[in-house]
Amino acid sequence: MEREETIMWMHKTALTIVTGFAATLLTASPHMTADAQDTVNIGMFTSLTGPSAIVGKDMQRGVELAINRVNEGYEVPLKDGSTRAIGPGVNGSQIRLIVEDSESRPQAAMDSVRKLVNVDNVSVVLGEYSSGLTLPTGQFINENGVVQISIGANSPKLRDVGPFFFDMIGLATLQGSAMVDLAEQAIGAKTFATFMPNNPYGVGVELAVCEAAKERGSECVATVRYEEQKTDYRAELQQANAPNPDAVIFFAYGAEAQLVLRQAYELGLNASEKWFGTEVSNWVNEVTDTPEIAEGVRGIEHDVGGDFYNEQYAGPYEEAYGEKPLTVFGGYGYDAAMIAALAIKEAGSTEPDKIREAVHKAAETYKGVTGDKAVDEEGMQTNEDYAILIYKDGGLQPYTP
Amino acid sequence: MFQVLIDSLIRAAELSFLAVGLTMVYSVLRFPNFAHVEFATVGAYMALLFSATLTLPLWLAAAVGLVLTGILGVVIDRAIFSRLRRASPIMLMIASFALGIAMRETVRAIWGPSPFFYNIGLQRPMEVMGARITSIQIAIIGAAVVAMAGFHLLLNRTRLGIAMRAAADNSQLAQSSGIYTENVIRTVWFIGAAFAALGGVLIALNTQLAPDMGFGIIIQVFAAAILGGVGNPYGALLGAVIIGLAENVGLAINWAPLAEFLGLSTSGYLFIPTGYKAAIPFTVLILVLLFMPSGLTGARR
Repeated sequence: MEREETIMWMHKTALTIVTGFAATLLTASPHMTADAQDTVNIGMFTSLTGPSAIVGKDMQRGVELAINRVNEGYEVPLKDGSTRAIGPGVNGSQIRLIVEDSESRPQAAMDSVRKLVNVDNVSVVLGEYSSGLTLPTGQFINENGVVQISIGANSPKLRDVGPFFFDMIGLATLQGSAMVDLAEQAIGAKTFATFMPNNPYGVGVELAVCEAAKERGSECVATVRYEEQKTDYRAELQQANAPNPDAVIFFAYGAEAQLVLRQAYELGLNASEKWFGTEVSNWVNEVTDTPEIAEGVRGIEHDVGGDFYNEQYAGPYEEAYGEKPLTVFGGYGYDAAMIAALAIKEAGSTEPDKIREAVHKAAETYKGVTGDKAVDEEGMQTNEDYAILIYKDGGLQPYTP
Repeated sequence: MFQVLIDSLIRAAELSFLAVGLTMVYSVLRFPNFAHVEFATVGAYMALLFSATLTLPLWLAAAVGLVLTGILGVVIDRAIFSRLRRASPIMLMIASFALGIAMRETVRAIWGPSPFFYNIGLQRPMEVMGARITSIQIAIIGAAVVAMAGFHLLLNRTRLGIAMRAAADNSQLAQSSGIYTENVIRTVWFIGAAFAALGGVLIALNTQLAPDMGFGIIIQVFAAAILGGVGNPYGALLGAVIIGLAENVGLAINWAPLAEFLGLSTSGYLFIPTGYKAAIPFTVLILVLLFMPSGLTGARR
């Protein structure tokens, strides 16, 4: 008897749960469609937590700045000196920005884009920063026929994602020769070691560096690909150092760079003389507690700045958020969002094929705060400028080799 | 090369705290506790909590964290595993797996996925025979030696230790000889969890705190415990040393002379790619088990 009661109780509970779900679905779905008609949804996935949290937040701010301008109405500057009026909103609707946290890890990024594509029905997806997160999610988004504009990722493999995929930043192939030139001019380096995360970005830069070195008659003597988000990199660091290379070309994400640089310091690997980093601004906020570990490290960063950048972006950013732009990547987020809005307006609908066509056109004429944003046939940036910097006295400063 | 030995020792010290606790719980309760490594994470974060928010000195915060994590171990046993004493090892294993996820995600939910550092500033390395080591790293090795010596004395010189060994050997016989095995089990959980917490604090001191810091070394910890013959604390210690060596030496060996001997051209340096780092302990484990199926110490069971 007791057993039967238990079973009855279980059935009842199960029934309650099922009807509950059904009721939620029924009430939720009409609401969702109504929502979709009122606004144009743009989705963004960005790392608000994890090692890339600061870059992720900065990119979100950049995107928000652009979307707010479009929703209020804005005169967008074009390359030929004229402007194009946009807004308020696009095609008679306000833009609704939906931001998901990709937690600096591929699984969370995948969950984020699934929600954006399947639940929120966004017209365009913006993001990410890490190539390791952008590649797998990019394939999913592209297969679903949704336009994506990647903001900060630059693995050469991004070129193959598909027709709906665009990027806002020069691919790593352009970084390889910039790094080799820098190390050669600064310390006459002839032998190179690379110390890169084992992800599409890191491997992309590694291959580009070694190819550039070969072209110049130098060589790569060690190529270390480390696993991300581990707690100990001593063995990896020593492997990179074993052939005693003239220069070590490295990259690490935010907080992880702090660990890598700290362990290199503790092992006496002389980072201040031999280490050259790509995209050095991505860890500049994370090493402030122990600036000694990065002192003297040289490297390249995407070159943004100048009057147009300050007036269009950095100034209004500071007004809105009470501090200077945290990294350079927020500006790329701004450009990505602005091009997305221009493309949706140009397309006159949220039909993916039309938006895709329009992105090509918008990128051609738009004057980006981070420079020329024209894309080639595969949607990739055609050029990129790099600034050469050195970490000194607790911050990055211009450096001339 | 001396640097590699020092790095191996540091790693072995960190692993030993976890491997010994894991093997102790196994010896008494006969199941692999997959949640064991999470005590390291919890202990490290508790020390962070007490040192950062309550501004206790770090050693005191760590001590409080250790005791609390030990108590957490006992509470978890009361709440979950004591109700499953008669369940099969597979059931217990699954339960421990679920518990591990719950603990890890709770830490992530409270502190977020971004890493933290203890506020101890930068350690200046000192040079010892051409290798570099920081005072923290010396402390880690020292703490491991002291803790393991203390543990040895506990096992051999105290009534409690003898009871623990008796319960591990044959818990029914121990019970009928007047040893209250539930008491022994509680002690084992407390010591195991507190040891793991100490290991966690030391790992965090040397590197950083992250929700995955315990789970990230679960393979190494299990490999060390199995290598030593599961259930044997001394074996686990030996296993930790071997895994520490295998990981660091394995990556440090230059295979170029061998490759050239085989007629392959190299640039003078040929290393095992670091992506294989986690596979090295497995390889060692498989090799040892092929030749010594019950582990290095050859447990008689």
